Amino acid sequence: MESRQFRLKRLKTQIRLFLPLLLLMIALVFVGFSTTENPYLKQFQTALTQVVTPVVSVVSAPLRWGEAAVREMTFFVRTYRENKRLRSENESLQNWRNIALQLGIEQQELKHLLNYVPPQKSTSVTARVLADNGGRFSQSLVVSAGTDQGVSKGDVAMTPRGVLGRVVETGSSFSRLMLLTDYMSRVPVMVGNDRVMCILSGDNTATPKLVSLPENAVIQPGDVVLTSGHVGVYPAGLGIGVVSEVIDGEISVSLFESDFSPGFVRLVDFGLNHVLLHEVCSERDGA
Amino acid sequence: MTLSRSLIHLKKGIPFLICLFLILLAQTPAFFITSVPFLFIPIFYFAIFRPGLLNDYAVFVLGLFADLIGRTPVGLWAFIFVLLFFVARLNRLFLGGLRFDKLWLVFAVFSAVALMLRLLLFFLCAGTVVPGGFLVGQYVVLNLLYPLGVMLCGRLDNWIEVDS
Repeated sequence: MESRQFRLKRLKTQIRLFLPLLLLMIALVFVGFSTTENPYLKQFQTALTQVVTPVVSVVSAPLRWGEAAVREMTFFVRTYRENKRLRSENESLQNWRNIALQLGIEQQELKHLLNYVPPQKSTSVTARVLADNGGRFSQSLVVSAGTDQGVSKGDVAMTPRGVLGRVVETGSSFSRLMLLTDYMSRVPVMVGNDRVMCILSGDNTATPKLVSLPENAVIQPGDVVLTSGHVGVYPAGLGIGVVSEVIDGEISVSLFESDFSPGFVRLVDFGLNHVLLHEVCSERDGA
Repeated sequence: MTLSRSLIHLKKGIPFLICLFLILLAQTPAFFITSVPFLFIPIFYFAIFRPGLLNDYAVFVLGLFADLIGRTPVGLWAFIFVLLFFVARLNRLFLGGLRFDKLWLVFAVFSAVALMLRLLLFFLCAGTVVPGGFLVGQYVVLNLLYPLGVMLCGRLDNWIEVDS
């Protein structure tokens, strides 16, 4: 009897010794499994995020308040200087306003002459940033609006300064945004006055790179980068950023929305979501 | 089972709950400080001084949870956490006898290896190399706050031990 108990105890000890190794192997199997983009896993993650997001919102509330207080104080310090600058800027903008009015009238007349069909009107939803999921390994945000608020996959996330990213996943009350800086983000863009077509490729840094450039393309620092509208995820002409440096053929772009702090984003539906239908269908087929 | 015994069992679950809280805190948007993997500290501490309060299963589950809500490849954090816990626990007799400053140095080495391994695994999963410079900042902050983390873990450990 004693020897049996002893054997049992020894077996338990051996299991306890090998358990971490077993768990390590299971973890590696999970890693391999998760790289297959399994739709069930995605659904489970979406459901879990739906549950966890309100909790994160509560947990992060004190940090948000602290951050808001610091921002407010900084704002007061800057206000005087900002006011002075705005006065002078306002004077020059008055001149530009007159020019814009003239151009507006001209444009209306030309549209009328050309029988121009205006693009579909966009609709938008404003949402608060709730969570930063990537932990810096990927660049994504969770915001407080989902399908219940009319958000759909493919909507463009914008701030007053420019494009931030796009909606890649929606729950009933949250959406996940993939930022332009994410290593998986690829945006067709046009650069400079020559409208050089290429791809803005995120690399998890604040300055994504321009890739797939045509041969002999001349791009210089200061060239403006706009969405080209190819593939149809982003409409053409949205402001992305400016070329910040060109070193050894590597072209970095400084985004207009480069120092985004947690706050509010606008999720705009430009009516291009049908383009993502193929992606959705293939996911459903996979499921 | 009496009420006091139930309370003791509940108390023993507090380290796990605190780790869970740290994972949720890491989801807080755009604050650099919250993205630091502070979970390394309780895992390292409890593996050496009180492995009964945070066992292999718990560490594995914490890792899976971190991966699932963090949208990183599932199993990545689980692998790193279990490995850290396993190696620290395996050497607990040696590590437990070290002076604080030497243990801090060991933690610095362990956390560096864990972060590098995680970056490497991430590269393998993503199929691409992304800049990992931010890890240096995370590593420095993590190690600077190690004494505070250990002090808090120690206090918690003592508080739980009083009733056990």
